[in-house]
Amino acid sequence: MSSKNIDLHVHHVTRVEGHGDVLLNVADGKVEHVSLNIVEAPRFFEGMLKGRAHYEVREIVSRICGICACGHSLSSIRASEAALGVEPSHQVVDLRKLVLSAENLSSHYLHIFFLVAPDLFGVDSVIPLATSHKDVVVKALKLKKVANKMSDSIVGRHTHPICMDIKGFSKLPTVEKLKDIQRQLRDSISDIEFMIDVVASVAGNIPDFTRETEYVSLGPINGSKEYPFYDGVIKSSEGITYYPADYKKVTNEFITPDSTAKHTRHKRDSYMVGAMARFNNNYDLLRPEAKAVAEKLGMKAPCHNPFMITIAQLVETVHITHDAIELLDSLINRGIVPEDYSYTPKAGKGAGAVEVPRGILFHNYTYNTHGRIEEADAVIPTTQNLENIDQDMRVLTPTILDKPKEEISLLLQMLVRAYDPCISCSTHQLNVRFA
Amino acid sequence: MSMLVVGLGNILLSDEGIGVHIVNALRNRPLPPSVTLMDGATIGVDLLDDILSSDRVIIVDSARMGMSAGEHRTFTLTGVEDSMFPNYSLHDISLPETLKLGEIVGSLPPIIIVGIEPSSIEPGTTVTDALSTRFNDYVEHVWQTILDFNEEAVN
Repeated sequence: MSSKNIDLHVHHVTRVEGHGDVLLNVADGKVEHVSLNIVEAPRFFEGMLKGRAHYEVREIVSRICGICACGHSLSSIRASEAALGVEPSHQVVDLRKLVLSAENLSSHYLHIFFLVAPDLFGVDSVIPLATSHKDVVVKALKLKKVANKMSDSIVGRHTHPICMDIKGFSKLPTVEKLKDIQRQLRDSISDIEFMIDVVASVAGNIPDFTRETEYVSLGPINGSKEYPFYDGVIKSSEGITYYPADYKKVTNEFITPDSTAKHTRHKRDSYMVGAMARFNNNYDLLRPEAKAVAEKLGMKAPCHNPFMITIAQLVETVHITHDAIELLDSLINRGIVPEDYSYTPKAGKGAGAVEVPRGILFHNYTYNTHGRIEEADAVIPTTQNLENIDQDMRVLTPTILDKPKEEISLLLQMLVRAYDPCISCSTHQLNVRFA
Repeated sequence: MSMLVVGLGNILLSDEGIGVHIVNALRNRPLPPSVTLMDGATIGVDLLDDILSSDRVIIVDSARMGMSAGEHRTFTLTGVEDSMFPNYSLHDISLPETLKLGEIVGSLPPIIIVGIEPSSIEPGTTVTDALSTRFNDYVEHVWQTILDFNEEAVN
């Protein structure tokens, strides 16, 4: 048995959203402790919502995250609609699906090509990558721009949506704008294909590691054939489904001594949410173009290697792009019809669940008779992944102890990054030292 | 000539959102037609496209600069140490990293940054007293900076 001793503390894992530390302690070749320690102060957004009116809520929650702003808005809107007994029209639902598609595309491109690609190319960050592989970074920026334009055209801004409300849109996009988005998405397919080849060329650098876990995502509802992002039941790979209102039966939040963020578990020690959970749970519903990419990159469902989350995201970008082009066809053929989106607020409780880039996101509200929030709860995907990351580390670490400390550190950080965690819920402050 | 004036920050984290509040207050001021005001919120690398398609950029953001809370300072990238880019990134693609990336993939226009030293970035939808009492000064200062920068570009 090795007598190796390691005391590792990675302050602020880079290329993740927010501040998380990796802690590892090995004594006499035995792993005594390994975890992702969240050092950000907890955010009290739920408290901020108390007393707020139904029409204010989706704008406030959209500010929680710069990347998942539309997803927070949509989960919030769905919770409000469930609570207030409001039904959006078919047209509104289709437009919302496009908004979610745009956000998932934009975020996936960011994670794959700006945050993970440096690891696969063996460089520190996207800056040296932009120097050595400028064409890759320029194409990634171009793909992101298409996704942002899509969001911009439908909700008026590419980060925080302006015109997406409960029941409808305060301003609807024109058919011409939809046609323009569709043309740009079609044009982006050749760039996506180029990027798939780029990823394939470095896919051999994805660490080989397996730990079977539970996967939780939306699942199809009422026999739907759609790979679900916007609508569905909560589906566990353990063969259990729930309605969104019962999300607490899945999340079972608990506190750990290492983290100011809550952890979750369901039927196993931990569960995973996000692109790979969706891929594993709903593989049959992926489009053939997306399945072909999975096959090309050697990913089969169920996949139990968390480092392959990035590949699942790439597979999803293909699915989402083709799906959005088809959905746009349907919207363009029907034409955009002005709709009344007024409603009367009332007391009620309701939950919303949508798939945002990092996984299933829950919002749950209780409104009083004046349409003001009495209680609010949100469970973000990263919270749901934290325990799974720790469990992965506990299995991975003993298998890599023979490697130099720097390599162990890099592999643990790569594991954290694979989950695309969003720890801070977005601060943007600059730190400046003048020369 | 086009000038982008972007306020950055999270308005749910008290003083963190000061840049957004200032830019929104500027919507009530007369501005040259070339100026676009943008509530950039917590935008990351996506800001690059807006920067690269502008001839002049002013970024208004909360910044830890070692000054007293509420003080502001206006600077350009050349006045800032490279250590502004520690390991390049803590929050996915940060503003410094975005600007560095812009230098590599394109040509950055002249950029002015107006930093406001925060007192608190704890959760809260309003800024702290240290900043709210000077809020009109910030708006006046950024407005004047826009006019001067525009004048300089036109001449």
